[in-house]
Amino acid sequence: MTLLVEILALPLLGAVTLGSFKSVLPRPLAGIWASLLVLGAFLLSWAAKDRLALLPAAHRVITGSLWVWTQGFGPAIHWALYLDPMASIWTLIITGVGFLIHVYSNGYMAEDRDRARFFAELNLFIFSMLLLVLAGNLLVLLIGWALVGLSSYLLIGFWFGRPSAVRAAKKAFVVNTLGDVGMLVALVLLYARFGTLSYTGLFGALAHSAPAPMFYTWVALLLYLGAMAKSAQFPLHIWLADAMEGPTPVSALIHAATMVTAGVYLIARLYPLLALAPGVGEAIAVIGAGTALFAATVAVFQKDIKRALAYSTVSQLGYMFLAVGIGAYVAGVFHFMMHAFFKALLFLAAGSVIHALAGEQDMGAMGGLYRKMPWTAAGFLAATLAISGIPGFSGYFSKEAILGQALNTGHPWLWAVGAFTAGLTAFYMFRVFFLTFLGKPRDQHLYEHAHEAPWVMTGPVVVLAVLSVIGGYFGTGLNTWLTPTFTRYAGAAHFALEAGPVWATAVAVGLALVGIAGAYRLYLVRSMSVDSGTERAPGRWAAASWGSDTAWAWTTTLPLMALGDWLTGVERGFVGSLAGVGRGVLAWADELRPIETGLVRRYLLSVMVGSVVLLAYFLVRF
Amino acid sequence: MMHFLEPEIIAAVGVLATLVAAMLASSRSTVPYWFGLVFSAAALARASMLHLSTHLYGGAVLGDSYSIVVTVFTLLAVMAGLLLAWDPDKYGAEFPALLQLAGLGAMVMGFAGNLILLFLGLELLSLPLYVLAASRRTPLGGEAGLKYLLMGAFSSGILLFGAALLYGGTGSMTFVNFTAVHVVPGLMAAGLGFLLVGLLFKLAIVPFHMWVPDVYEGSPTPVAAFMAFGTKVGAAAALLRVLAFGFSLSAAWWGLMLGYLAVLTMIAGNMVALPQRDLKRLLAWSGVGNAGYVLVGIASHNLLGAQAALFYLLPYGLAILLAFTVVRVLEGREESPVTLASLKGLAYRQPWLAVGFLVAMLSLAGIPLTAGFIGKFYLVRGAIAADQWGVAVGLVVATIVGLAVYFRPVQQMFAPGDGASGRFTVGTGVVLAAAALGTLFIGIYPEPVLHAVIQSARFTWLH
Amino acid sequence: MIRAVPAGDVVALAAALFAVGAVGVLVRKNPLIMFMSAEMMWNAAALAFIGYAAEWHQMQGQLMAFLIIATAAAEVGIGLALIVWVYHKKLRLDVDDVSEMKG
Repeated sequence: MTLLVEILALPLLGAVTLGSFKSVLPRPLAGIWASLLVLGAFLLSWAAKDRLALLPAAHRVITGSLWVWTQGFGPAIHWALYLDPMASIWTLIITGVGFLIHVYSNGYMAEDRDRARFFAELNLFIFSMLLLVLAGNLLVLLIGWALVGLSSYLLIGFWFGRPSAVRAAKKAFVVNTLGDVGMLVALVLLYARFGTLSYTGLFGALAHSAPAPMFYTWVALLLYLGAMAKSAQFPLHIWLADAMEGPTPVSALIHAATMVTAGVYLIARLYPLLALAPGVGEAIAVIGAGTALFAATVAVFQKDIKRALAYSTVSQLGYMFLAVGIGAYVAGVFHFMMHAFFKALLFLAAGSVIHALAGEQDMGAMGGLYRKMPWTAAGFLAATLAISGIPGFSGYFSKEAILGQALNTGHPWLWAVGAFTAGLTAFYMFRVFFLTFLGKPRDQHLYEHAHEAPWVMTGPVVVLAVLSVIGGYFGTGLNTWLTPTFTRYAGAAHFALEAGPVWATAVAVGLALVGIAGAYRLYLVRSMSVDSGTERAPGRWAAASWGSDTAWAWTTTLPLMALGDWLTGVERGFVGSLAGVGRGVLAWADELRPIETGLVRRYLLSVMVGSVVLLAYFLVRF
Repeated sequence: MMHFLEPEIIAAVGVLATLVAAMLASSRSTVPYWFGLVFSAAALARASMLHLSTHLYGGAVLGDSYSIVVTVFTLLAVMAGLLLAWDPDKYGAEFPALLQLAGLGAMVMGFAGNLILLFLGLELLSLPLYVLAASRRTPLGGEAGLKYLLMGAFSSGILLFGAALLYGGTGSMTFVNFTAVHVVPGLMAAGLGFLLVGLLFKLAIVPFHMWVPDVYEGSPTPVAAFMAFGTKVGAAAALLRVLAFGFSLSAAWWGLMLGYLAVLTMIAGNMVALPQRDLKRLLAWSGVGNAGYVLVGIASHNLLGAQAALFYLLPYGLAILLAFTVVRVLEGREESPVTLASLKGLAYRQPWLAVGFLVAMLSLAGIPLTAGFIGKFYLVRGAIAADQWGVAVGLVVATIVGLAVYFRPVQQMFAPGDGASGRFTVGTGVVLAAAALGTLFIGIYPEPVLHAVIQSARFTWLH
Repeated sequence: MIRAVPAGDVVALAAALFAVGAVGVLVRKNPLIMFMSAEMMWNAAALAFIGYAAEWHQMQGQLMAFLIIATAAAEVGIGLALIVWVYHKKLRLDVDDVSEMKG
């Protein structure tokens, strides 16, 4: 218990000290201080993991309450923390990958005037994410959930001078808050029914509660709404691509490795609830597979390197949701872990490229960069091979685990979509690699000035590259390690890793190879330009993310604004808000004296109409 | 026997003493303000030490912890109003006495156990506010005062007639006797309907809310801040008291109607707040929406709802005080209108002011770790416990709209641009710090405050 | 023996006065008249209180009537001052002119 508090305290300390003293700190010190604190949190997480490993497998949980939060209205709610094997995986990734990205940021943000604010907000994010993961009940989890949303908002809008950054930050915040509201309602429902929100209490109560399928379905759907918004599942994916307006290390840490996987964590954490609402799991899996395919098609046509990677993140998150939806929890966590390695690596390498090209993000201006930046290119290649699922690299193991289990649990269609997407993934990722690093330089001027990144930036890239290559061999260990989490409560029958049939693996790998060959032929042999294919209809639509942004604007934003304007008009011209009830009375008043523009008298009339309605109700209903 | 009324007695003596001080001191002296502040603080200190439950004069005066909570809330509003108006040149020497008198009215509404005291408290609250609302020497001030006066006189007339009908129906003025006597049900129903109109008017429930935006906009900002908190405390306290003490047996009957009104108010208030440009008008509409939230708790007609309604007044009050403090700082001595555009770039010009405003908006929007979240959480629980699912859904919908409402000013604050800036005074600084810290404290560790407040609304006969 | 006026008659008169007052507030445009009409509603309530006090043989209703008269006097003091002030600004008494704030 003490260890957990300290894990949380270190990044919080960093956020507070950096936030308070940001104007007086010597400039390089801010980054070093922030990185050291996250390193400390990582070491403590490691110690916590070791302490957890010493416990007997059946009792592998460290939990406790810091203080009673409230006990006013009914059963008490505690500020509780909870560390089990799954949470420890998450803490290790958050602090470990987080530390590497902090180190990288020392180089990437070296020139920025506001770097102390940057590191303060980055530390705040680490704290919030750890709070989310270490929460011992759903309310504390929700607080962490909202705080990561807040720090993500701050970091996307870090360069608030750019209107596009401010707009992107707002979009992310609004979409995320939509999810938060769904979760809040679910929490109230659970609390009202079971009188507790703690994991132990809630899951214990679920085990022997009266069956009420509708209730569990609704609660699970509401919670999934929160996960959907945070993890950019279709149709709430629209904020993630715009979130790339933030600095690249932010994209690597928050919008690829950690925060966007919070939804996966939530669904995996709530597996006993999901077991009681089986339809929801199926829906999650179907939406996940659909999102994976959808985002992959969009990624194929992107010009901006970061947007291509962002859609690739959405697509990979789709795989994770496919896994947890069909109950393959360990496979989902496994893919989260591998994805954290290779996607953080992709973003960091892309960041180095952007850094070297003075902020250029358009792949149309890149090309041939491997000669200038060998380390970065090698790292990017390792990650590309991993995400494409080439045997031997990390992504292969986790993706095969998901796809294999989809077949084993009787979802051949989901498998087919996943395998096809795997081919598409290989195609668009190698497209990015070829366009960026191979071929001829397309912008000679930028190419001349390009240079390899400094060692603080290549160091993390190399470490992550090693992890991306060998990560897959953690699979078996992860399986045993996570077993206590998923056997503690009933509801996760097929959680363990399973291998699929050999022919399925062969098909998926074959499709990936076809994808690579296609990319090679199109973009290296025939040197097609970046925006080829986007002039004509299907490509143009895909590049515009199949119109999902426009659809949101037309179906939601505009009507809401129109409604607000309309209601003001109503207020100005009176009556509308009372139209249904008060029309008769109004007509009577109209005959008494035509209503003019005098406002006080309209207000008085409103009071009168209200009184008459109230009186009528009371007399009729008495 | 009388000593449970000591806070109110101190406050009443304070009004007289402040009046005398205003007469003796020169018109530019801050002495009356000091008198007002010290007496209010003394009354607050006395009130927070009381633990009693007594009835006087056959249930006419109810001195229980409920009335103490109302007194404490009201005194907080009075002190905040005084601190915001700490400028005798501008607001005049009579300001403190009038504000304290209005506060006394709200306290009387808190301990009123019969119709006579209810009426007296209501008028004691209203009459000084008519004067204060009109105290700006501009056409807008006169307009605010006149509108408030006409509407107030009209709605008080309706309330009085309702009270007369209730008296006629039961032969008693005391709330608790309404439950026992059922002589002329129709007459009582009509009386209750009219009585509610008067109280809902003060609480600013749709469709009795139309005075609110104009009066807030035209009044001086400290007065608007007091009205937003103090008036609503008095009205909500009296409303809950009448219904819980007098009509607990027919709870489902009035609960349903109030539930409809609560949903209408929450949604209309937040919706119309959305396109507002003037910050004071936006806060006024937000006040309308929040009155709807309070009404949710009352409409739940159960113990949880009553407690949640009483508790919600505090988070709401702190947040709205905080927001009005920011308006007060930004408008400066000239009282130039503060629009959303004048917030542009505030986060970089005056970061502390911006932090205060951010806390206020987050709390009003109901984001976790602020007091507003705790308040809304318990309101939803109350509504669900009463099986009023429609109301709970309405609350959630209104909260979603509210997010957009409170997000717009925050966004302006972070947007680059040149807006207004203003100087802190000691008074505005104190209110800003106290309200912001209070909001965060209740959000992070609500237990002590929550415990004190809910113990005092133990109207167990509502089950 | 003197027979008292039946309470029902008194209350009926009060209700009529109340209705006249309410309509007056709603239809007139002169704030002075509107204010007078509102006072009429108050006095109607006072009359109803007195009528019911007689019916229930209680003093409380009559007490309330006195309180209403006293409060109304205080309100008239404030109200007339306000209306005169607005008249000075506008030089005419039409409540529809007082409508700068809206929306």
